[in-house]
Amino acid sequence: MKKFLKFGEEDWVLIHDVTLREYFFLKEGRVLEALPFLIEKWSEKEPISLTTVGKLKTAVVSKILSESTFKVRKFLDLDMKQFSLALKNFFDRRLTQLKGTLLEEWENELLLVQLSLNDLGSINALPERGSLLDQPAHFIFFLLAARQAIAEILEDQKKRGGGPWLK
Amino acid sequence: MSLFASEETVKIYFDDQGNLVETETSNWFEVRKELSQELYDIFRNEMAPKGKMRYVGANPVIEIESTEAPGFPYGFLAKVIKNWSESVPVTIANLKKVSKKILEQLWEKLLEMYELNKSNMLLEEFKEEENEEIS
Repeated sequence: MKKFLKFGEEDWVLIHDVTLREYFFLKEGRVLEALPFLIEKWSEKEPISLTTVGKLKTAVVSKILSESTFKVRKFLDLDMKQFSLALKNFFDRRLTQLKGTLLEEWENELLLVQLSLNDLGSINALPERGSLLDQPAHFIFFLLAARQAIAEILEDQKKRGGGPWLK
Repeated sequence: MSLFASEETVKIYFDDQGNLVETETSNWFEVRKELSQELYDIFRNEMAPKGKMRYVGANPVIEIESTEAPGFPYGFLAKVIKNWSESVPVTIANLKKVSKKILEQLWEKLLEMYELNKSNMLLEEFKEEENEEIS
């Protein structure tokens, strides 16, 4: 998801959610190296590069970081035990309503994950252009959790003697 | 207004006894008014404890590798000070010749000016802010 940040009356920056590549940079504290990937457009005339990014005000950078890491931090804060149980119930068609469950806030990602994975849980397509490193970090984490849930469902079916497919 | 930090400079004056004063004297340092992200990174690398940052859940934590206290940040000062009243250029070697009393007062003045007097500088960038989501 793209975000448009405004500073004062004239200055603005267009950023996107942290991708896997930028997440790896930020995890090690390499902020300056992540910034040229993170910023898509800005109101300055100079091109976006490693040297020009260094001239930014510190307040602008801290705002950019807190806005773009919003979703990953939210995902990593989840209770994974309950979340994977909810995912398992959803893919098993035992969950009829998203309202009131943990999945309520992740409706968009849930739709994308169903389009990305096939019935056996392997990846068919990815939402953003580019490679795996260019996908939003929170989406990749979501994808892995969904794959795990599907694998567990298929395993249960095998134990019961049914075929490996989703209902 | 601009997204970039301004290149303006301020003069900091010292009297003959080495005390920080407001009035104009013949001993002065000319320093940057505002810190850019690049300079802030240099400051962080020199002053922060040597270590790596990683995530525990959603919270960034620092794993400290060595317990040595960081030395005086001459490298950072050499970048920030644009000019001074001495005839020699501002370098790390020349900065080491300045008296301890003056350097300590200058350092505290700079920390106050750039708002760097915070306990956890590394985590400062990731602080929680209550923002509405803009999409």
